[in-house]
Amino acid sequence: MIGHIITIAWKELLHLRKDRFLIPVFVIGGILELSLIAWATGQPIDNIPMAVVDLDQSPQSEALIDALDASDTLTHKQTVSSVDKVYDLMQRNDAVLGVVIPEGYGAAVTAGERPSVRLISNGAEAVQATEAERTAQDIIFRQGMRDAYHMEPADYESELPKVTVKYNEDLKRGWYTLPAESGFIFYIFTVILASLAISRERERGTYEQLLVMPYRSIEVILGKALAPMLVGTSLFLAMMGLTVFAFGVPFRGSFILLLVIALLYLMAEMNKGVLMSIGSRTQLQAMLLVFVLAIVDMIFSGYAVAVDTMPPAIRTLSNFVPIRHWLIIVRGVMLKDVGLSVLWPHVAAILAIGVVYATITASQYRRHTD
Amino acid sequence: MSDYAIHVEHLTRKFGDFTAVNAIDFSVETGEVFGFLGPNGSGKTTTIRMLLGLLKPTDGTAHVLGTDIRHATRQFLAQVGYMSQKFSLYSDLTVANNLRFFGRSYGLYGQRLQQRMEFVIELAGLGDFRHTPIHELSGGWLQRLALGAAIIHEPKLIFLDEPTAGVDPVSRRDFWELLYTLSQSGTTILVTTHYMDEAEHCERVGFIYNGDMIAVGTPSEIIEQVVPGQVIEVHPPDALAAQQKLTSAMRSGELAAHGVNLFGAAVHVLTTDVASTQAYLREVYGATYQSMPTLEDAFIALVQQADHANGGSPVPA
Ligand SMILES: Nc1ncnc2c1ncn2[C@@H]1O[C@H](COP(=O)(O)OP(=O)(O)O)[C@@H](O)[C@H]1O
Ligand SMILES: [Mg+2]
Repeated sequence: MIGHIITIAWKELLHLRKDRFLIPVFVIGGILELSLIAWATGQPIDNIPMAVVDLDQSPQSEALIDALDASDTLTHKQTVSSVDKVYDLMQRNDAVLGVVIPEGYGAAVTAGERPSVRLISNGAEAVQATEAERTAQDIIFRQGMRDAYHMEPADYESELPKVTVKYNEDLKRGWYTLPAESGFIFYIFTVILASLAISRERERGTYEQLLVMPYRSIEVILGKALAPMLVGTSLFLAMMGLTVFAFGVPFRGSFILLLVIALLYLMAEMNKGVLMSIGSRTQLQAMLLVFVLAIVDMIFSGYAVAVDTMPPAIRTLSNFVPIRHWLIIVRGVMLKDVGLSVLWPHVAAILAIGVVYATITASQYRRHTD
Repeated sequence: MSDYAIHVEHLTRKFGDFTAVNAIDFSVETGEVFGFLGPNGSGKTTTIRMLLGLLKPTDGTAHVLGTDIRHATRQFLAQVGYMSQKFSLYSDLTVANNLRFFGRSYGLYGQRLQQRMEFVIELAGLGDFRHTPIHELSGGWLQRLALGAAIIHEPKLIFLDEPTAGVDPVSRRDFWELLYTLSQSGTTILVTTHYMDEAEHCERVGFIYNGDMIAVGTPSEIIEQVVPGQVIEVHPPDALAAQQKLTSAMRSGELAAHGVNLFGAAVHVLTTDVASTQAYLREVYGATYQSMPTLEDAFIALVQQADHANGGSPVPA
């Protein structure tokens, strides 16, 4: 039994070693992708172009514009004469935020009032627009407090809500995206490898030979699974190493725990790959199946769209997608330092999905001969 | 039944409405070299795949090494070897690694594995190419290596599906030498081919045509039954016209023959009345050559009979 499994795994590793393409692409592609994401998410969102319509043209309105421009987030690009001109600029992507200062702003401020300023934001650039709006509101508030009420921050800050951010104290985007992305990378490569395992034999005509050898189905499947598991585990370690040591995402929980869960998780995904492999006649077919499923996984994973905001039916379905559980687990262990007492439902789900896939795979292996 | 390595009764396989193998019966005795003959698409591979448990029969039964093929077990598979019609080795792996994989798959390890690998490497004449990826090897060598891989575990019975297709004549002869050696050591061999000259090397042969087993027996039995007498060969300038002309002469009774077949640029006339046929042919075409009928003559006659019975569909081959 063990000898048979090792024999198949050994042969699969020989195929991989002979392949001058697959593994280099995985390693270089994975590192490159993760580095790019780290770099992109590490960039602060700043210098957002802002257009101003100053209908007041008073010293007070100019002071407000200067204050907005002085922030890192916003840059005063142009002053235009009407709101229509702001829309023009937005259409050409030359402005994300428009600030309209009403006539009589200066006089009102001098009289001790805080007149309303109109903000127009370019929703097509949602991320920048949100950031620009938040910053502009804050600056307009502080400017009003100073010029109208003659109050300094120390005078009113005690009355503002107190915000404490836990787990990702500076709300760094990288801390959220990098563990998730490394999960996607090692998962997709493992599934691709697994999906090639049997389709390769079919395509090359060696499948029948394998079927007349005295193997149990489970021996072939486990043997075929071992090589992708080894590659997947190595990629997991590499991606985690990069995420933590090169890109500074903290690892607060138990590494051993995450490693063990990672193995279970990989096992579930890999069985899915082998199953797709059995269902395909060629390697190309298998790959296409993997990609279609990867897109579905992406949607259900909760990475792009939060699971809590999905419609109930979809939310239920998402429970059957292993990566959704993995993303919760990896954030839980890395950022929140939580253990099995909290994460066990997700670990159990991964295990159950893995067992279901393995059972289907084993029952399908022999049937597909003609 | 225990003396039979293979015993087949009414074995049938349909693909949808199409009957690829039609209720065939035959047996192969232990230690025999059995030739399974027939043109392309006649059902040879389908039969072998059923005998190996790769394909479920639609009807009928077959016992191979005493095992009912509907329940092919691992113990059964361990005793048979299969060299499929498709290329079945791993072309990216080396000679040694291919053999190591085959050997280990059949439970060979250590000393024993080494011995068997060396045996096969020597058999295939690949001593200098142990560490060569096999996609760099050429036809005849690959064929012998594939045979070697199929017998590395010393199976009692081997199935060889068109092992010599596309191999040069010298390699084909060497290959048959190997089969004799194997057979001498007690291995039962079922080999398919559509080269009739090869079939004469078999102890017994079965002809399959359009899924029907149209004859089974030793080559001499079949020849005697189907094409008794002798072959008179002539080389007319226009062989096709001569064949048509002689066929009508035979049908009208003018020519005392029972078969007129085209063999390349020659025409073979089958007859038991050698003297008068020879005289008739000499008169028309000059020189004649006399020989014993071959399996190919028998096969052509059988195919004509089968087609005649079926309302005269055209003869392939
Ligand atoms: N899996 C299959 N599905 C449908 N038809 C098949 C299948 N396998 C073989 N056939 C058909 O059965 C016939 C016999 O094929 P085969 O056994 O391969 O012939 P041979 O080996 O004698 O050349 C052919 O007409 C072939 O097209
Ligand atoms: Mg065939």
